[in-house]
This record gives sequence, C-alpha cells and structure tokens, in this order.
Amino acid sequence: MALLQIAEPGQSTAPHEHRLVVGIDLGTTHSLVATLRSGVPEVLRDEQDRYLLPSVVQYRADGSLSVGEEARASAAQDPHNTIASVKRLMGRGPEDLQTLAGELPYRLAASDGMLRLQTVQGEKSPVEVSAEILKVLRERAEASLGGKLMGAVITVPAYFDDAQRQATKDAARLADIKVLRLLAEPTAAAVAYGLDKGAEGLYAIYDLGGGTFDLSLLRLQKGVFEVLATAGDAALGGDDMDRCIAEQMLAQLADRAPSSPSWQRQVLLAARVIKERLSDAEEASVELQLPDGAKLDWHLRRDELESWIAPVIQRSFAPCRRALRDAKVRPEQIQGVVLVGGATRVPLLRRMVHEFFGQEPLADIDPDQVVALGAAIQADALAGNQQGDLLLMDVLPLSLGLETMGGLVEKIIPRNTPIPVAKAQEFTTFKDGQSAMSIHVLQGERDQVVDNRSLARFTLRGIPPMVAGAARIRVTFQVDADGLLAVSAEETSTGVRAEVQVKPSYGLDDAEITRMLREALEHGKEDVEARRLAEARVEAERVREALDAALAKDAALLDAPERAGVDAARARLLQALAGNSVEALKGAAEAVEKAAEVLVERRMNQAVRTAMAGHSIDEWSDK
Amino acid sequence: MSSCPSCRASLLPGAATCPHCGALQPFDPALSLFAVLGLAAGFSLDPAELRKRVLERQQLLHPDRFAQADSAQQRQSLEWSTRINEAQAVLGDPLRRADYLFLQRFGHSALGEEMGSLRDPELLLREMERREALEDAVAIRDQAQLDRLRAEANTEEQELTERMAAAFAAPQEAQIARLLQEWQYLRKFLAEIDANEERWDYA
Repeated sequence: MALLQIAEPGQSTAPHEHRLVVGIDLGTTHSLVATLRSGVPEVLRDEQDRYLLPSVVQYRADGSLSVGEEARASAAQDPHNTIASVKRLMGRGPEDLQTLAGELPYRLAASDGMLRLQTVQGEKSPVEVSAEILKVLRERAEASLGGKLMGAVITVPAYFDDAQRQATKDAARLADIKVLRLLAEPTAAAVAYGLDKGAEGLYAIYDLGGGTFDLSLLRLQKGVFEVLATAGDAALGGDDMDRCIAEQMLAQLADRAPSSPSWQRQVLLAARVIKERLSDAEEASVELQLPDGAKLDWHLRRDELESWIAPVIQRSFAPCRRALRDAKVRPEQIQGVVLVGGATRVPLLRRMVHEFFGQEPLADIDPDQVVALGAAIQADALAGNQQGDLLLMDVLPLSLGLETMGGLVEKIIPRNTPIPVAKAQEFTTFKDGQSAMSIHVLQGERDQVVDNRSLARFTLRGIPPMVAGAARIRVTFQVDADGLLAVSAEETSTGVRAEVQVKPSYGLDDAEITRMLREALEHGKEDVEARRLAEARVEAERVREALDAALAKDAALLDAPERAGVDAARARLLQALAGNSVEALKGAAEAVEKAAEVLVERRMNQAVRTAMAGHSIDEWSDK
Repeated sequence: MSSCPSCRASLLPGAATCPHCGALQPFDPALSLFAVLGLAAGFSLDPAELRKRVLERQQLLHPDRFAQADSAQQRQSLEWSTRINEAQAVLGDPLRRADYLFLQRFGHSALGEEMGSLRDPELLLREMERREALEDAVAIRDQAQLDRLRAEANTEEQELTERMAAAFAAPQEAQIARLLQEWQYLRKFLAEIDANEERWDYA
C-alpha cells in the first residue's frame, strides 16, 4: 500500500498539518458545508454531486430517518413526520405556538417551556431535528476530507436572538460538532465577497433566505469586516412568497380539492417550483395531482405572481431603513449592495432592491453558496491555518433589557453595539433583610415586556441581610463574540458573590443535552459505521487516483497480461466505490495494490536509474 | 513595574501582550479607556486615529485570535476585546468622551441622576420650542420636518463639540458641567426624533 505513495520529485508526502475545519450554512430550506482547499473556498458535494442539502428530516415509523432530498420527496405523503423549515422553530417558546401553528403543517406541542414536534418517533425538539441535518453535513465533510472534523463555523441569521443562537449551538453539540464561532450570515457573505472581489468601502448585504431576512451594513477595509448596523425580520423569507402563491392556488382550486395536510404540502411544493420557473420565464405551469387522482396543469404569468409577492418583498425595506438610520448612513454612500439567499433570484426583488438603494445589486457569487464559503474562510482563520489579517467585528442585533416596574423594559445594551460587550448594572434591595432578588432579562426593541423575547429569569440568592436599599448588587451582562449572553452578580458592599440561578426561558438545559448526548451514544454504532465507510471510501479513492496517475505515465512498463490484471482490479475498485460496503472497498483497494505491485516496482527502478544516470556508484555510496 | 507571568520579562503598565514572549497578559480593569488604546487623555481626538488604534488592538486581542488557546487566555482576550469596544464607544462619542474626562478629573459625573432640571431660562425656552415643533411634525407624520429638525440638532451638536474643546483648554468644573447638561438635552431630543420615526416603521 505504501509503495503506491512514492512521490514525484518535488512533491511532499508529509501528512497535511492542516486542521480540518468547515463552514456550515444551516438554512431554512437548504443547508450546505464548505471548506478551504489550497486557500480557495469550495462547497462540499455528496456522492450524487449535490451540494445543497434540503433542510428536511423525515422520522419513519420503523425508527429510521432520512434527511435531505429523500425526506423532501416524502413530504407530501407523510406531512406530520417530515419536518421542513425547522429553523423557524429554533429557540421559540410556547407563546409562539399560536402564530406558528397556523403556518406550519406539523403537530406542535409545548413542554418544559419549549416547542416540540410530535412525530411517529415521539416528540422531537427543533434542536434535535437541526442536529440530524448537521450530522449529515458533518459526515459529508468527514467523508470528503478524510478525517475527523476539528470544528466548524456555523452561520446564523444576523437577526437571530440569544435563544435562537443558543439553540443552534446546542444542535451542533448534539451533532458532535465543535462550534468555533457562530457567524452572522450577511457577515459571512461579506467575507466571501470582500476577499474574492477585493471590495473596500461601505457595503449593504441584503440576505433573504428561506425563512429569515437580514440587512447588514459593513465597512470593508483590508481584511477588516466591521458591521455598522444590522436589522432584519426573523420571520420573513422566500417561504412567505411560496405561501402567498400557495394560498392563491388553494383558493382557486378550493372547489376541486378539499383542504388536507398532504394537499397543502403538494401545493406548497408546487408554489416553490412555479416561483423558480418564473424567475427565468414570463409564463410557466406546474403539474398537480388532485386528491381525486386527476392531473392538472396549473398556469401562471409572471406579472400575476409579482402582484402576489410584492407585499412580502416590501416588508424587507422597513429593516433596511432602520439599519441605515442606526449606522447613520445614506443609501448613496453605499458602494455596493450584495444579494444573498436563493429568494433573491426573483426578478421583482432585484428591481425593488435596485429602486430602494438606487443602484443595481450585485450577485456575482452564487447567492446559495456565498454564506457557506465565507464561513469556511472564517473557520480556516480561526483554526490558525493561515496567518491573515482577517478580522470580523460584529454587533448585537437586538437590544438587551431588564424588566422594571409595570411590565416595562429598561434597555441595558442597545442594539448594534459592537460585540463583545459588557455592561454592569447596580441593583438594591427594597425590603429589610431581603436575601433574594429576581431579574428578568429580555431581548427586543419594544417598551412592553410582553412584546419582547424573554431570555432568562435569574434569581440572586445569598444576599447578606441588610436594611432596605443598603445592599449593592452589581450584575454584569457579558455578550461574547458569538452574540451569546452570560450573567454574573456580586454584592459589592460585602464582596459576597451572589449565586445566580439561570433558567433559560427557552432552549435546552444542560441536563437535557446530557440525556440527548447519551442517547446519541447509544445510536453511536451507526455513526461509527458511517465513519468507517467514509474513511474506506476516501482511501479507495486515493488508491484509484494514484493508480490512474501511474498508468497515465508509465502504462508502457506493463505487458498485456499484467495490464489486464491491473484493469480487472481497477474495475472491481470502481464497483466497490459505487456501493456502500466497507469490506468490498477495503478488499478492492488491496487487490489494486497487489495487481499494481509489478508496476510500482518497475517505476521505482526506472526512477532510480534516471536519478543515477551520469553518476558513478562511488559518488552515491559516499553519501 | 509588573512582569510577564510566562517569561518574567518586565512589562510597561497597560501592556496587553508581553513584548518579549508575546504572551497575552491578564486584563487590568483599572486601566483607563485612553490607556487601553494607547492614547493620550484629552478631549481633542482624531476619529481616524481612534479607529486605527481600535483596529490594531482588536487585530491582536479579539477572541477570534484565541480560538485555539486555553480557556484562561480566551477569557482574558474576551475582557480585553470588550474593553476596547467600550473605549471605542465612549471615546468615539464626543459627549461621552467629555463626560468620561469630567468624571476622571472631578471624581463624579455631571450627567445622569445628579443632573437635575434645566435652570437656564434661555435653554429652557429653546428646549420647549423644539419639542413643540417635534410634536407637531409627529402629529401629521411630516417626514420632511423631522429631517429638518434632525439637521438643525446635528449642526448644534457640531457647535457644542467646538465649545467643549475650548472649555477643556482650561477646565472649570461648573462650565463643563453646564455644557455637558446642555448637550445631554440635545441628545435626548435627537433620540426622541429617532424613536418617533421608528414607531412609524412598526405601525
């Protein structure tokens, strides 16, 4: 086996000291993974050469599950157990149930302060569903890179709040991925764009994904990416366009097709298809199968579509105005507007963005890939694989505040503050001998507690007994570079460190994650199998490449029967590569090595002869 | 003079990294915001110079530079980076910079709860007129008038910056305190313009 690795002069056989890291774009409709190869970011593909993994997970009655294209195909047949757009549910709580239940065809439940989905395999949290998607991407990355991942940068919408970010991090933990950094999607896009196109100056990144909208304003300057302001809508995306179209379709066909979950799913899928078709054509149609079995060609013109979806696009401009105002920037100061996200392919959207910013938006890099590519660049920098000047400075997307008297919120850290950031606030007791105090942390822009997202309730205990107003409790809120909040507290007059009890309003607590990790270990055998297969595949692929390279150069060194033997072994290897058997892959790779031994030997001799030509034996033996 | 915990080389006060071995130094909370950026304390500050210092320091100390380091170093880097951002926020805003210098020099703040109400009749009158104009504009949702009020306030802020710079040439507590208060009222007014505009967005 080792012999096939003899290197051409000048090539290094030293193992790569490169740390294997990737960037992952965990999207509402699609997810993908990218890495840096020889300094160039590229997306990683599966065996069928696809790089977009539909963010869909199907839980089957037999206890198995499928993720991606296969799961998406089964959505119409099995709507309750096929979870799509789970990103919309990340970090959401019971009070979101009402609004979300109407939008999504799943059976939602709320338990332990968290939303869950009822499936044939029991209740699943959005974090668990996302973890299944991440696992597939991790396996894809490990198979194509041929080793264990050291870590990943995972992107989140800039406008994700603390609970949504924490949920994303938890999902990665469940998928056995070390998160090097949570990176805002528009910032990632700016990195890919800025480094590739050498952009400098002020840029607006308009990112309309499947389910989220972000607008970020960045200053780009020689490897420094400084977010000036970000604004968005965590519940606005291309999915909303699909839903508008689907509503029209359902209404038009109401008398021929009574509403049912599977009919709704079919129409929703058809709506997406026709939206995509109308990006390139003025008219298009899509085939539907009515519940009575009859087929129907549903026809639509682009101008009709545009009149339906214009209000969805219009909604994105309020955040745009907000970001410009926060950054104190006028549209004409902007050097370029970069489009990110599949939904920005819609021609009407491009026209409306053009009109709003007064310039033609840029989409030079594939809007589906650009976020993952940027994340891969950042991951590589964080792994220390390159000595660059890349520096990303992001902001807190939504203000952090505390509940005060009368159900009002007092802001402690305003939105668009550069992170990391810390703020200390002093509190005092209002009763003699008071030993505990509770603090409610919120995130959002509104004045009333109920209109903001509740992040956590803290109880400070162990305050030394004093008269009312004498205790000085200093609570420090620290937001780290991932945009995640941590709280600590201290009684400053006595130096007693108050105990902080954190009860996240949403998300998983540590005990729950531990339980899930334990369960994951029980299923770990499948993962180990998958990894063995991936490794065997990479090794077999390497053997095939080495053989082909040797044959391309020195096929003449073999006689006909020898060549036939090598070809037969090669054919067996190709067959094994098409299959999924570790044993077959290993056996075939060994067979190739064996059949090629004579070729390797002769190449070696030839190489030695060439190297020694013109030198005497003495000359060599002296050395 | 302190010394580097990893190589024992002696350090200048406020050093973030050891000039000898490059090790990250524990963050010292007593360090002034000017010292964090290696700037001389004073009201006059070139925004370009401030930005350059911030970027230089963040390049060196941002948590992204310590993604592979041990947790103690990550913690220290987080503290340094947080403080650099704070320095940028406070020193980059002339009002907050003046307030910070006032606090350093006179040991208390002229703003916040101790500020009290406006007593100067001239200022009081202007404040009332301004607020009436804003209320009128908001009532009929007059964006152009809002923009005009904002532009006027911005010009006034420019003038205050110059007056403050002159005052700091020979700092007198009462004079600077008064300027700070006047400025604070102007800021509140600007914030109210923004808040009203934002309410229109959400409506």
